[in-house]
Amino acid sequence: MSDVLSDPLDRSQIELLLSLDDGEGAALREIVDEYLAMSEDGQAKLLRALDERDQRGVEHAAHALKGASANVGAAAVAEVCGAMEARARQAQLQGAAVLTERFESELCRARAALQAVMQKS
Amino acid sequence: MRILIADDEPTSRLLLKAIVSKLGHECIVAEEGSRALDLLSAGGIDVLLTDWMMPGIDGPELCRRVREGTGDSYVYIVLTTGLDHPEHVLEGMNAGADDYLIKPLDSFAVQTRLVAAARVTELHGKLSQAQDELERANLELLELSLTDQLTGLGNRRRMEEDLIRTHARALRVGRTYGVALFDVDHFKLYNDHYGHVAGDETLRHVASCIDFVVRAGECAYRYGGEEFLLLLPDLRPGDSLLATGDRIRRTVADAAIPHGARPSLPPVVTLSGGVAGWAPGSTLTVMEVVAQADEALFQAKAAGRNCIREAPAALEGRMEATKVVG
Repeated sequence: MSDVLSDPLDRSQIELLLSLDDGEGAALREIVDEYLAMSEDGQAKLLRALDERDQRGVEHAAHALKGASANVGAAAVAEVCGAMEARARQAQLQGAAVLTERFESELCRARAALQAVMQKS
Repeated sequence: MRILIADDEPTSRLLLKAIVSKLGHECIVAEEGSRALDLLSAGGIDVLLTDWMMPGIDGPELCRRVREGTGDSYVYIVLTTGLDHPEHVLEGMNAGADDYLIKPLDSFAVQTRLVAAARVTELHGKLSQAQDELERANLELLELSLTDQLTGLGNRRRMEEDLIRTHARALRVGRTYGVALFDVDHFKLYNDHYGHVAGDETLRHVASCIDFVVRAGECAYRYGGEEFLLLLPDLRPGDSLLATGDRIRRTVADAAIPHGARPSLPPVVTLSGGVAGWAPGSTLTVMEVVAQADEALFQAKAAGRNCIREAPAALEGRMEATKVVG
């Protein structure tokens, strides 16, 4: 698949984060750190909610992950979370569940890319 | 500006805080709606940037609570929401938001919103300042409309309002009140001799003597011309209207303002006075009480001036002979 090779991060968002503190990267590090922690937690919540067929739980967990992912430029994760949130809201839990694999792989790629950004900054 | 960020999602909170701080604003954060309300009620917040979806008090509810509040200053509210909920925008604006931002947030969008926020909060600040000034000016005008221009004492309008209020309260709660009416002796001769400018100056001087000796709760007015009225709204058992009237008479006489044109001694400006009281059980109206004081004043004039007379007490139906002092 071609998108496996594409950049998992929206670099303009990374540039924005870098611009927030005179290029020192402190804001970027703080926000990405927070994202790495909250996305791990959010992933667990989302998978558990899917497991328990908890429609509101899926909607909320996907919503939070969507917003946070967009903030750190993890555009592909944000997109798949948005789709899961929308399907959960329409009571299509099965439709949301089939996106799980894509969600997990996108999140994994995004986290790796973010960790690389952190090491560089 | 001082900006409050309300968002339950930590990266959004951090991102907004970094953007707002970078733009040079002071920034405080709340993780939930109820915490935001607490911070808002403490005051001093110019702009609220709030997320739509929060556990507990959500964005639109927060907007409604802020607008229901009676805070002194206007809080400019920007609601942040996802693009997938366009219906939220209108609902949020109806709930009291001034503007909205679509997530994900970028600093340019936040900056443009804050330009509008600064302009609107400044306008609201000016408006509330203008309103305060107007209220102050209105109070000053009201005070002026109740003040005698020459002497600075209460004028006839204030006197009538206070008399009516005092009488009504005395009726309601069973209080005793009194009025004392004073007239400057031989004032026409004074004016003829010294001129009206000196006459005005003397009225001011007499008024300041009266004002100097009135006690807390008592109030002095210029009744008209060279007549003054003192209202004692709350007489206690043992209080003497005659003694109060005489205290004022003596103060003016002791000021020793020369009056060389009067036909009788002493050769200084003096007052004649009449006092009358009202006590629970009396059927007199307040204007009848004033008329009684006026009648007693007439008797003081007839008795040779520079003295005080008391109207026959209306209290307990006593019909004593007029008491004399001075």
